[in-house]
Amino acid sequence: MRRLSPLVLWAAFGLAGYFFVLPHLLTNGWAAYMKMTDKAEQCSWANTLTFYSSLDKFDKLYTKYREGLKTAEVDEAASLKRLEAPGARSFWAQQRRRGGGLWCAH
Amino acid sequence: MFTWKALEAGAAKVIAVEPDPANLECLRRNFQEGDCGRVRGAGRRGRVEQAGKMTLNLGNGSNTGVNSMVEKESDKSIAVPVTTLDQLVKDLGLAKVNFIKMDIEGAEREALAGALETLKKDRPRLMLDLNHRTDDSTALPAVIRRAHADYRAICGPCQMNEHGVAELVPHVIYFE
Repeated sequence: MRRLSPLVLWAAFGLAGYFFVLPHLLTNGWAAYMKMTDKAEQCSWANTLTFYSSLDKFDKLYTKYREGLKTAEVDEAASLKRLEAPGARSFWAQQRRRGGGLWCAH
Repeated sequence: MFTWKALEAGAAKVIAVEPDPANLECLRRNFQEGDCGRVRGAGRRGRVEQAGKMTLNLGNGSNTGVNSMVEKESDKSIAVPVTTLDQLVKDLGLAKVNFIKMDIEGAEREALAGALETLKKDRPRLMLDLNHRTDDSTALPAVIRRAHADYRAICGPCQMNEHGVAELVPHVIYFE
C-alpha cells in the first residue's frame, strides 16, 4: 500500500482538529472560564466541561425531529393539525403557530 | 411530550395542567385513547400562589409554549381560572405526589410557593426550567428549601442566560 505523504497526514490532522477538536476546545474552554469567574455558579463542572457536546446533542435531536415531522391530518374548524414524527406517536398541535407544533404538548 | 415520557416511564397517574384552551384541546386529543385512564387533565387552570383568576399572556404566534403569566410577548391575553398545586392535590384526592415537572414561563416561584404543603409532605422530585427570570437560579431553590432545607439540586444541561446577563445557567435543574 502506498504511504501517505506527511503533508496529507498533517492536512488530515489539521482538518480533524479544526472541525472536531477546536469547537470542543473553544466552547468548553469558554464555559470553563465562565465557571472559574463565578459566572456559572449553578452549573456543575461536569456539565461545564461537556457544554459543547450538550449543545450539539440538543441541536441534532431538534433537527432530527423537525425534519421528520409531517402533517397527517388537519382540523380547520379547530385550527389544529395532527403531526407524525419518525419513531414517535402522532400528536395534535395548533395550526396557526409556526415551528411544527413541537411545543403543543409542552 | 413530557406526559408521554412519564407514562412510558411507568407513572401510575399523570396530572397535566394546561391553561391555554387551544393547547388543552391538543392535550385532550393526544391522550383520548390507549392511555389506560392514567392521564388526568386539570383543565384550564394555571398553577399559582393563590386561587382565583389571572391573565395569561399569549405568545407572539411562534411557539405555543411561551404563553406566560409573567412575561408579555404580544398584546393578546386571556383570563384563566387558577388554583394552587396544594389545592389541586386535595381536589384530585392524590395520596402522594412523586414528581413535578414545571416549565411555566416565569411563574415557577409562585407555583412552588403554592405547593409548599405538598413539597413538605411528599418531598417529590422536581424538574424545573431555570431560565425564565433573571434571578430564577437563586429564587427557585430558595422557595423549594422553605419546604426542605436539604433539597439537593442537580444541574441539568447548561445554556447562556437568556436575559442578557453574561452567565451560564442550567436550562433544567432537578431537585431531590
